[in-house]
Amino acid sequence: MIFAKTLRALICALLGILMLGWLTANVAYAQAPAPDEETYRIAKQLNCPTCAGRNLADCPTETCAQWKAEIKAQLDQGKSAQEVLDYFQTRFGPTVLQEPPKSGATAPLWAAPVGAAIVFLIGAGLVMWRTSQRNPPAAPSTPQSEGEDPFVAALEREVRQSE
Amino acid sequence: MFTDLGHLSVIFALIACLYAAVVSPLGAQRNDDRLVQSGRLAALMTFPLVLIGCLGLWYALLTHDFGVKYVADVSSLATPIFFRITALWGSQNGSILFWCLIMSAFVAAAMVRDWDAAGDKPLLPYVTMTMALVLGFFLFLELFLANAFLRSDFPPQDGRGLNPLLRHPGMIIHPPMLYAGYTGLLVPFAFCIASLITRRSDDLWLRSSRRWTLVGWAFLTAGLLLGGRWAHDVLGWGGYWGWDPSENKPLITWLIATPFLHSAMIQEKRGMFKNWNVFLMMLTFASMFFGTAFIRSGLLTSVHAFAASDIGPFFMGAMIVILAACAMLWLTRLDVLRSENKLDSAFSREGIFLIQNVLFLSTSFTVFIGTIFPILSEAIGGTKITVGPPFFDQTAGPQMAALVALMGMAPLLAWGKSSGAAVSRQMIVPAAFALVVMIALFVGGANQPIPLLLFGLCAYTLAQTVMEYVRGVRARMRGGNESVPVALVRLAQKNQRRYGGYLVHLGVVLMAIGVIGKGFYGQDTITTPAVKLNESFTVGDYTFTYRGIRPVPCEFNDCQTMQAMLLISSAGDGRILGAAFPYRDYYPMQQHTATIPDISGTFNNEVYVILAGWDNNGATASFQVFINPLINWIWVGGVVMILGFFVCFWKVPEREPAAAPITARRPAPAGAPAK
Repeated sequence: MIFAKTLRALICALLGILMLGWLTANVAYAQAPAPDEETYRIAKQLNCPTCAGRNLADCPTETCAQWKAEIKAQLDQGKSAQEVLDYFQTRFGPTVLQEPPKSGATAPLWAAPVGAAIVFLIGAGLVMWRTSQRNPPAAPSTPQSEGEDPFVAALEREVRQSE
Repeated sequence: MFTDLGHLSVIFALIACLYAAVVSPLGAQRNDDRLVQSGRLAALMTFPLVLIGCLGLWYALLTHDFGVKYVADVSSLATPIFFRITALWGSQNGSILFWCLIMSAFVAAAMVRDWDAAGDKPLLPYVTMTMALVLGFFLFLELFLANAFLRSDFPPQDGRGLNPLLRHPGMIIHPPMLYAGYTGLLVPFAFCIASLITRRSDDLWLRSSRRWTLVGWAFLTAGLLLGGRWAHDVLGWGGYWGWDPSENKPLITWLIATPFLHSAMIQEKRGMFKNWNVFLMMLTFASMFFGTAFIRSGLLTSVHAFAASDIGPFFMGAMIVILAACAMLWLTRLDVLRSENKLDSAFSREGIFLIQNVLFLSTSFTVFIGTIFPILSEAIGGTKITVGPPFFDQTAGPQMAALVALMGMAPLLAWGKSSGAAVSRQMIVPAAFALVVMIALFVGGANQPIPLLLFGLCAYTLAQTVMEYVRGVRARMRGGNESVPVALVRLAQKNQRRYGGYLVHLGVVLMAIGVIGKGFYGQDTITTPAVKLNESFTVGDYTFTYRGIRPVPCEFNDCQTMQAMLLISSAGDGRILGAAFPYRDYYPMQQHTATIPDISGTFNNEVYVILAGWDNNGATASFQVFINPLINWIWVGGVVMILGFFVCFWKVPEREPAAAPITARRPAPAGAPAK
């Protein structure tokens, strides 16, 4: 049966890939100091003024090169990373930051997901609490021998029946 | 001539839609099957009619008929034939026509299915009506607001050519996949509406449309994956996902359709959450309209918002009307949709599905709020505040990690109520595996706590999912004399949805591993200062030596390509590992430069090199390098997810004597489409 064969082959291949993956996974690196690491790190946190939706570091345009030069110049003057970011923010507004500040006008943005997750989860919890209050804890709805997955038990029964 | 015939054909398709939308419910009210059948045939006819429309436009594209404005916009004399065919969806007006084609194909497929055999004849008139109305909306859009057939008075000598960014296999298959995903989800939506209109309280609409939902979901998944692949291969970001509005839009829909697939099971098995399922289905549909409205209106800037046009407000209006109609319909049917069963315990499959559902929705909401915040902030505060990837990583990321954790728990819990002892016993092996993996990684040098924990979580869920197969196979082997592979295949055949689903879970975990690897261990360099010929620079474990630059023939005839050559060697022992050939295409016609990365390295450690620029005919050049560990796991995981879909979806001919479905609350008739 072609389907069965394909599935078997695929699963074997998948397992093979998994094994290889775990064996060769090499996820630790030494951090190599690259030139202008600090400039790059700051540029990553700023929006590109010319290419939409990209950060300053990744954008190859002329304007971006000027901005990066500005970052480097300020760093050379001895400013800290935060001071450079603050400079850009006061000059161009919060729009310039990749990550909107967690305080001020953009605080609701950060609060919304957390709030939604909490409210939704509490809602789900309430639904479950109310329904379980109405129904006093009953015996498991499907009889199951201790430690036995009912699905597996049913599966065994089914196999025996089809014998 | 052919093109005008196509135009006419699309007009007829719109008329057929309107006819079907009126006649079908009329037939249902008058109990006249002839009218219902007439409406059905009219809806069926939309597919050939829209197809003729597409053929007409294809004809114009293939014959370089630049008199048609659309053809001049998306192709030129130099455009290869393959891209002239795919140019049909290369820009807005054509893509709406193509969208209509795919949607009408789904409509036709739903119409030709054997409604009598499926036992859901009462739903037919309203399914026809809903689908005809939605398809009619898009045809109206095509004809009156974004007509691809319009001719210009002064045809140019040559066209502008296809957007260079769209010349990638991922970008060519990805839009049709997404369209098929969205329009595939139209089918369950139509069944949902029909079920509400006919005041049914059962799960007929879910069972009848189950396989369609799966198809829609799978296309959406594949579309998202291919979109990521395209961004990775063509945009030169070094990444695969930039939280761009165009990417977020299908993701929002995916994050609603996925919990729906799960909660639909609760209704089928336990008769609960009926209201919830209707709500999710409507939300799925609304999210599709929302996304299209925002992207197409140009309110959100995106890497590939093809055209800002005036169809945005129209979409908005339609969305409000649809939402209002859906809400009214739903609210007047609340009494019909009361739950048949009570939740016995929170510690059950239903309970964990509920948690999973709300978590999915809050993730979806998170992506939604981040995507529209620029518009909100501009409307309220006057300044457009950009929300970059860090926001999404920090807010949606943890929620997704929690979903991965739930995925490792849910299979252990039984429907109804579970015993805590049995569940915790089943957690021992996977937890031990996770611990071993974490220790091994720690010893190997991965000592950041967060990714270490996340890898442990993935290892746990991975092992737990694999254990589901092991338990099933063992049960079959205990019951009968089956070898392991036979037992595995039979297990999947007999419980396709369960084990196909677990395969999808497995794919998600593999993907998560890739996301964590790239996210926490990815390395990138700043664009290097000009590197002189035969000079070297080092990134991570790799040393790159610049060997020159040369012009090469352009792949697509209409660009100028410069290709750089770099030698890659190991930073440690100097061993030569290979070469990289990143290049840049310049398209004079579009004044556009495409930066095509070179991707090399090993499976677990991708090396991604971009040519950033050069001077003096290549005496110096600058590069940007990304080291993307484990990123390939994302693609492997994606393939596994799609395989899982096939396991769920494939119709396996019964060979053994059929036993009664063991978990179903009632015998589940195949709510399968005809084809």
